[in-house]
Amino acid sequence: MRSKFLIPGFLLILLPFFNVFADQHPKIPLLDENGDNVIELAKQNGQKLVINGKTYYKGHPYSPEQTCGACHDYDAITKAYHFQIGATEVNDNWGKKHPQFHYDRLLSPGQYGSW
Amino acid sequence: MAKKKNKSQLTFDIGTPDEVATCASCHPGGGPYEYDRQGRRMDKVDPNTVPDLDGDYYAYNVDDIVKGTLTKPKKFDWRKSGSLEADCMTCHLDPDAKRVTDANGVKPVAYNPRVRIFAKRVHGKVQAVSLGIYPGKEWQSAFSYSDPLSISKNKFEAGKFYSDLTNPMADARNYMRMPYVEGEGSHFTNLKAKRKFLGNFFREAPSAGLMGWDNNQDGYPITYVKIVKQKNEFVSEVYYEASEFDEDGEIQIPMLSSKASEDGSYKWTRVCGQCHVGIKDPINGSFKVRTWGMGMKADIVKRGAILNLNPQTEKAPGYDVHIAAGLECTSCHDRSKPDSVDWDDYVTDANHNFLKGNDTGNHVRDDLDNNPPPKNCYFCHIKDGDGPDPSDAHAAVFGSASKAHIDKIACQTCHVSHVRYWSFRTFDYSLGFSYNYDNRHFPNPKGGMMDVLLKPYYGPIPAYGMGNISWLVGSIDNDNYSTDQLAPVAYMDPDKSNDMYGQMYQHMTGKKGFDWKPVLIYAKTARGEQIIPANPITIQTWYDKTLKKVVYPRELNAAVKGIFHDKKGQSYALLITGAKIYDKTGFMGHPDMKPEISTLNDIQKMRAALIKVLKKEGEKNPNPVLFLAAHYFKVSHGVLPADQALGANGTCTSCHGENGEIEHRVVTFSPNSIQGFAEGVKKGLIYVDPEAKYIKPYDLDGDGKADVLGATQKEVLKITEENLKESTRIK
Repeated sequence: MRSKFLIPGFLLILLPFFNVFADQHPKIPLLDENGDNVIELAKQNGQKLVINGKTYYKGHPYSPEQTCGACHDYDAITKAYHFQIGATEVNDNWGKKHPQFHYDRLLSPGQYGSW
Repeated sequence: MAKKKNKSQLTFDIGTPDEVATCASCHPGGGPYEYDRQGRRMDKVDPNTVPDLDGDYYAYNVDDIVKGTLTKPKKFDWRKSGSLEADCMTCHLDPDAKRVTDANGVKPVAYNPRVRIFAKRVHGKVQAVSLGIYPGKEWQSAFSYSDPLSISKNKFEAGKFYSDLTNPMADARNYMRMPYVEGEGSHFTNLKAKRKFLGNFFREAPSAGLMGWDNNQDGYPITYVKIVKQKNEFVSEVYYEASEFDEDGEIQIPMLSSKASEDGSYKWTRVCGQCHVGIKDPINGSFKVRTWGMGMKADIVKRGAILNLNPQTEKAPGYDVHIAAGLECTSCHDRSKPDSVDWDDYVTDANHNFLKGNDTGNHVRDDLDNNPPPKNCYFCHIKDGDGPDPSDAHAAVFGSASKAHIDKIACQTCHVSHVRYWSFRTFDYSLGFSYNYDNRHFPNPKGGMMDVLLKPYYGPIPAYGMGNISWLVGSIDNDNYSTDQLAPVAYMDPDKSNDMYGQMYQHMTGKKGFDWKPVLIYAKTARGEQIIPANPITIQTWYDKTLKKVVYPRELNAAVKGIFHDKKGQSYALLITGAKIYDKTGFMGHPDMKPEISTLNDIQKMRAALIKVLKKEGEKNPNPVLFLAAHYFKVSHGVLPADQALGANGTCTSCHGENGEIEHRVVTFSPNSIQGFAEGVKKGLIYVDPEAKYIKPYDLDGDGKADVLGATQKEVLKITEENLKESTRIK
């Protein structure tokens, strides 16, 4: 079996803590679809709920594309098959062009298009 | 799935909005859930510019599909719903760090937690819905039939936050994609339950997903989501807790990167497991797909995959030798960072095409199949890895046959000899969704219908209702035959002894839990063409030979009025023609109260109803025929210790010889046979997919009557080998 499993037990206990520091992500704002900071904008708008002493401000939904895409290549990442699930191949005539799958109505070989 | 361009609803199955609403319980968004087939973000497109019946912009809603709407689909308002973006937090929010703690001390998962859904009603009509936070005594459960507050052990205090771990309808993100309440709105067939859909809130779904994350650990989540009625429509509201953010409006996200692996936390396995396999949460003990319920973890339904992170024995459900040794999903499927690339550069645009093998059940990105392969058995144990090489040990037991077997038979064929969790085997939609167990008013074994609703079983599809689905639960092996044991899904709760259906199951089978044997087939692997273990998911529905399409669910549902019970208590499906199709088969000799097509006469009755439906839609010469297909899903995980492998007794008899798997076994594809099957095929009333052409009636017990639709293991091996050669030839 892999040698990395032979790490002494006391080091295994510490390993998660090393990971926490190793994987520390910079602080970021949560952004909405327009690229605005959701909490800043929500505070400016001033609509709030106070629930058991906790103050919640009404704001725009957070946008992962804007928030994470500010640094990460959202377009490239979402080209992966987990996101596309067949859409990269979708076509109204896909089934006719692939007779080995037997069905004209299929639009792609994946979830999106054949489901 | 509807084409992009459609001339009429006759080619319109479901549109992209329906796909998102239904499938986004697992699929993370982005791609086709965000951009149309022309590459335009759907919520930015002017609806006035959309062509009639565009498959991306028209849809049938849930009610349309279940009720059997035959008119044109409606234009979908993407600008209101928003596109569904890919939510990076689905996988990258650390599943353990900074979870919220609810009013009862429960810590649901950090992302997409199951929260209590509250509803405020006026004169029985819902005015607002609150996720997680209980606003006060005028609020009740949104799920008034299936999950009322009155059955909770806990009291609810105004202003506090509550999770709801056992309700698969209550995943916060998933709820927003297709929220509904019980107690008003539509009801179907002859059942009492009603449900009302409030719209689709794809834009707000990621914000709701964050409701398990409490950055400042004050017992309240960073986000809070409500749905409120404004005039005649429902709109959503998203709130942010101010104290979670710093003075610059920023926040420290507990991020899970691909570096965090094999540290004993199984974090990545749990992240992947959100969608793929069943895993018990180590913090709150919940099992997101309940051991006794259903769910849509992709690899449970296809192949019974659960992973047991803390097994008591090596025969415990979900035991896997590699999980026991500390490996994670990412240990084998992660696309490793090239040495030449710095971590800081790699993490900003890492290749998210994880390493995959090839499955016979679908063909997404075949160009990535085994290119390069995941770290499979052969890679680690024989070719290049640190796993012990088993060649000598096998040769010592099996002698000269050993090498030929290792070459021709994939390791998992013998080493995943049993799966100890349920999987699906048969989807029978030939009477539409008429059973509609998602309404959860089941027939009561003591007579009539149950007065109370079971908790929702099919969480990720909260509305469509389902056909006649059979679980694969075990194996039957006696002197006369060996076959698969299937059970009707809707009527039992096999692990739960205090459930009446669970009691019925245990009484009939003498079993508790599951234990089935995969089917052996030929398939393409990273090493060529080999015998592998698999689960043949079987589909029984209708195919229109004229339009060359599988008849759509809304069309099937339009042909069936519902399931009824006559004065003798016999169940029957009432068709729109007035014809009745009775329940004539059962489970292990017991009536299962689920009517099914089991004769050529039944086929003719339903065919007549469907012709009526299709003509009503405008088709001139419809020709619907009963359709059977089967696709194999590989069983590659859940590797068992050597002493549970086929051949562990040191002989060849596990597979070969009179009582071996190959000679003795009949694979059950459908638990119900059809009288006159061969004649039906000959007359063109039954169409069997060429891939599954060997399926036919089998008389298992020798009483002269066919019991199941099946094929011998030997036939399956022969024809899957032929199919493989044929598919290779075509490509």
